[in-house]
Amino acid sequence: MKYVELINQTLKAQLQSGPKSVLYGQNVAAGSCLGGLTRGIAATKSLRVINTTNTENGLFGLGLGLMLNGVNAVFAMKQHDFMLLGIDQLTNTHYGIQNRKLTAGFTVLTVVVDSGFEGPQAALNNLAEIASIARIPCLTVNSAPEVEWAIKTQLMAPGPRIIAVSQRLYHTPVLTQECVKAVSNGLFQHDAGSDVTVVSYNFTLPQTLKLVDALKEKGRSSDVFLVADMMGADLAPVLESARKNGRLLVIDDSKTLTPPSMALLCDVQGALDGVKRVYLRRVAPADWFVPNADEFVLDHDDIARQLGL
Amino acid sequence: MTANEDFLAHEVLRSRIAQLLINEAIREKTFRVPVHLAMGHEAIAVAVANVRAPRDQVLLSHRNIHYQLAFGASLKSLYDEYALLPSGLAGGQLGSMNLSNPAAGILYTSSVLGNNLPVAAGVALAEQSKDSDAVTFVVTGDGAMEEGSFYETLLMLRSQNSRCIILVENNEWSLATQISERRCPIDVASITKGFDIAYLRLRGNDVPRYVDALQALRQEVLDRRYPAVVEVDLKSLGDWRMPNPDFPDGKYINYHAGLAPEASLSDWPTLRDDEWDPVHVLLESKNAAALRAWAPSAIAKMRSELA
Ligand SMILES: Cc1ncc(C[n+]2csc(CCOP(=O)(O)OP(=O)(O)O)c2C)c(N)n1
Repeated sequence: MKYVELINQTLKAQLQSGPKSVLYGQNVAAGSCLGGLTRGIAATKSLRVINTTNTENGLFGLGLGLMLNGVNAVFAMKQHDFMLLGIDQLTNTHYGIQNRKLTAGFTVLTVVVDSGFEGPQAALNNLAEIASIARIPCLTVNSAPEVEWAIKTQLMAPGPRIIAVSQRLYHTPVLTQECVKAVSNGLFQHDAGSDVTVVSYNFTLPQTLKLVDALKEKGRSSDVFLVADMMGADLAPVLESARKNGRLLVIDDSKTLTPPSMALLCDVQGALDGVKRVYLRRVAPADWFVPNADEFVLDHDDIARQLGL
Repeated sequence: MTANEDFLAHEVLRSRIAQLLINEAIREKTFRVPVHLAMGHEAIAVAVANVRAPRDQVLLSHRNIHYQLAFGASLKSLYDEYALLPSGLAGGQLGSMNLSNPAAGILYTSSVLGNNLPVAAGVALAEQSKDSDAVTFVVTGDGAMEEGSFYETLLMLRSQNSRCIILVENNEWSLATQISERRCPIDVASITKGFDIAYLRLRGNDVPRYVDALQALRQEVLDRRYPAVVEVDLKSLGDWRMPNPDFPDGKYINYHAGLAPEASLSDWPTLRDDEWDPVHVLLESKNAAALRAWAPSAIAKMRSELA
């Protein structure tokens, strides 16, 4: 099954059987329905579905208003950079209701433009920056376990959040491998090993797992973590693993200048003293504003060399 | 037919032929960037290019190929741009939906709906600061004008009395939703009246008539020092019917971007036989026979440009 199909099916089941909610956004129930993301999600007694106008700032206010008044809102958006038009609502309104006891949720379900050919917008593969200014939890979905978690347990949980899916992964077969450890607070462990701790951020799980396979061929095993809640996950298991393995590799394909993955490596607590650290991230801002394939390619041999493996 | 009318007719044809050739390249999957064709939109672009004074600048949106062509871009330079080649109109750096060409008067283009409107207000204000008598043109759509920035821009333009003409290309659609499927109607005439802004509505794809009307409006904007909105009724051609078991005649698919699967190039590149096709409208001109005779050679010549 394709990545987008699994998300669509899970979303459909959740929305159509859930509590009172509104699914809305441009073309959510028309045309390709966001390339299949919201396809076939019809209104039910408890679900209202609205093909909206092109009024993003207003649409963020709308979702926050629905949430404030006890109705779940899911705003599905074809490109995550449209959030920029709603930044006033996402910040000022959201800050203003911080102390409210909320009974409903507001989810921005958005596609991250990480395919590169949109041109300037491709420079906006920087969810963490938007999430950071809005102080809103931001969940990235790479594979089946995170789809289950994000859509089934988070979509309608009280409070606001961003659930982000990758445009580049849309039509690829969804990764369905089981996690080796139960999910804890937005952290997923996808493999276990004793030579290196590999941490995947944003939408790098497919490349990360390929790299881990290549390391296996060299006789090396890895603990592999995916940080799906980029700002909120409890990273204690990652630090513990890194100390155990003595090597930490962090992989992040976002175009955020100050990504949360960087904070992990800063090691302010000194928890990683003596751990060999390698950080793979985007470094070529000049490329970010022109259309290009924008692939984050990992050089397996070079990485192994950097890790001393 | 005047020499200018003859020129305008050839420009409409050249634009259509170029777009159909780009469509062929899209069919061949030549481009990685999304391209929004504007077949059916040629008349207004050709008219604006004809009416603008050398200092006037335009700001465009995601659907802009008709203006690129009308403002003088060659087919080859567009093709190469969409293929992201250094020989492209913008050196392969912009692709299609953000393509500007300042040297030709296309100062800025944004694929973010409503984004170009306040920028146009700034461009127009800059002209005032420079004591110039340029008029700024900015193109938007019936979908993009839903953004708050449209209304904010009207307010800014009128408050500063800027010489700016907003062109609303009203094709009734925003992606796959028709106006009636997504919102209440917006009476632009009443809205502009509320702001005391000039309003003009164009329909019928008769380019010489568009030129006359726009020329008069441009003069009014200059003389009275205020902005105007032109609402142009048009259809984005290239729509088609997709086989679908639920629809005996196929499911109607509006053309938005990429391939127009059923549009192909023939000796006379018309796509429908009524006033919604600017190429069809040319048949009503006195020069129709000569235009028909010219088209095949133009097609051959433009095809060879890409060979
Ligand atoms: C802020 C923003 N929201 C949504 C989109 C996605 N989008 C691209 S084109 C389009 C339809 C715009 O309709 P209209 O302005 O009428 O232009 P048309 O494509 O019909 O020519 C939409 C919704 C966008 N580009 N920018």
